[in-house]
Amino acid sequence: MEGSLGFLFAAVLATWLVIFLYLLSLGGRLAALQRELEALRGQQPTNDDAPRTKDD
Amino acid sequence: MKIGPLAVATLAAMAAALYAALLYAPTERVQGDVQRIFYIHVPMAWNAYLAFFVVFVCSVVYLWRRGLWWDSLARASAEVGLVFTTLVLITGSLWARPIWGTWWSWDARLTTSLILWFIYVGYLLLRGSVADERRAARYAAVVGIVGFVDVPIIHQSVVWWRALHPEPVVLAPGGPAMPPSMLLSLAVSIVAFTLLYVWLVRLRLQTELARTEIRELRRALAEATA
Amino acid sequence: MPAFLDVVGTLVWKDLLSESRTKDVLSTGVAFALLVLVMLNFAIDLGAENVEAVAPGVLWVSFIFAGTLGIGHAFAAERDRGTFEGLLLAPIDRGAIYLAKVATNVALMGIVELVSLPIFAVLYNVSPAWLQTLSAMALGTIGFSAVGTLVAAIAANTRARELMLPLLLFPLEVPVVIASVKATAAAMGAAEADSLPWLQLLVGFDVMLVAASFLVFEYVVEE
Repeated sequence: MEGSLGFLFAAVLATWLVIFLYLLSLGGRLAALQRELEALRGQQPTNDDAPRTKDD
Repeated sequence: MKIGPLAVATLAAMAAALYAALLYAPTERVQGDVQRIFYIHVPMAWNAYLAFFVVFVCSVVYLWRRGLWWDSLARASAEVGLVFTTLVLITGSLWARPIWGTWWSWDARLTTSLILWFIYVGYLLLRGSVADERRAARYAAVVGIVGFVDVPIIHQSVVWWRALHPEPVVLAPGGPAMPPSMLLSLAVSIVAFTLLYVWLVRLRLQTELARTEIRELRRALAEATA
Repeated sequence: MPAFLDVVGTLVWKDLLSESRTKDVLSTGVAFALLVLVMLNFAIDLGAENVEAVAPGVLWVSFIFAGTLGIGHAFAAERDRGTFEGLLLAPIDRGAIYLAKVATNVALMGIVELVSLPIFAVLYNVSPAWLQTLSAMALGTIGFSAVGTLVAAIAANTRARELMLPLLLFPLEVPVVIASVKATAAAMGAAEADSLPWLQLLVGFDVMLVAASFLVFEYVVEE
């Protein structure tokens, strides 16, 4: 089983890399959406607690 | 993205799992170091099935109660489950190459995982190709239910398909009993990846809820200006 | 219950009548199934030694491709003409609509298959055990249509519906395809009796798939 360490390394690397990139993209998406949300809330006219459907 | 207690716990557990898999667990005698892939492969497979089970439950609840929150959770879980399934297929191949001498074998479990991958790719693409969000949620729920119900049928059919066609490669189940240190490493990894699943789904759910809120605010804004 | 079956019968009759006027599905279905048979002959390069192993798969690929086109057309045409909305406005049980669509599709696909089968036998030079082959075709077509009708109803209302249909449908059809191909292969091989377990399995799949799709169909067409 010499040389099988490479396969182990590849598997661990692939897993961590994919999870890290997914996490990064999720964080980016969330941050962008939250910025947009803040901007929209700022535009909201007088009634500040206008429709806010949190859980549907 | 805030670093909350869940994030800290997940990162700590993942670090512990990495240590357990690569250093703490004893080297398997027959397969050697490559067997350590087991400690990331199995927990991810387990969590992928958990993710699709969550999709199934949320789909049923959505059709019953019609809360968009359930639909958002189903979508989040499907996406995370698909990421895990992808990694399960990749790590499985990387294990199979040195052990079986082939990247892929049309064995029941591998084939079912691959079909599962296709079902949830279709599920997510379907969501993207329906404009109306309520209708998209309804369709997705139906696919989420039928797809999950179909999984055991697919698995069984592939088992029988193979059973009449014996393969030269015998897929030995890991051995009758694992030493306690291996079992402990596996347990740590399962906890770590389950925490990771919960964390990822929560993040994904937050983006989905933020998107819903933006849509509602836009609608309210358009009505106010009209 | 008789009223329910009457409704199903009426709906099937309506669809078959409208098909008999245009013959869209039947004519293109047969032509397409034969075309797939010819294309696969070039793709695989059959010889006497591998024909029995490969021919059942070839046959079912052609059936499933032709069936997918037909089932997609059924809902797309209703949608384009706006007739499906009318059907939903009528006081009809959604389950009856589902079963009628399945029955219509089984009938149309069955005709396409019955026309294609003898030509397939000639082109590929096989002589299957007819009873087993026909049973496999009937049961496989029912299983295919059970899920196909559900998915086609969904896909008809999506963007790029002709792409969504096979993408969603094929993974779900894996059990039906496996059992149908195996039953047909046994009918074409030496041991004809071997197709029996696969036919029994197909019956089980059909029952499960029809029941599951029947239960969720109303959520697809509600509004």
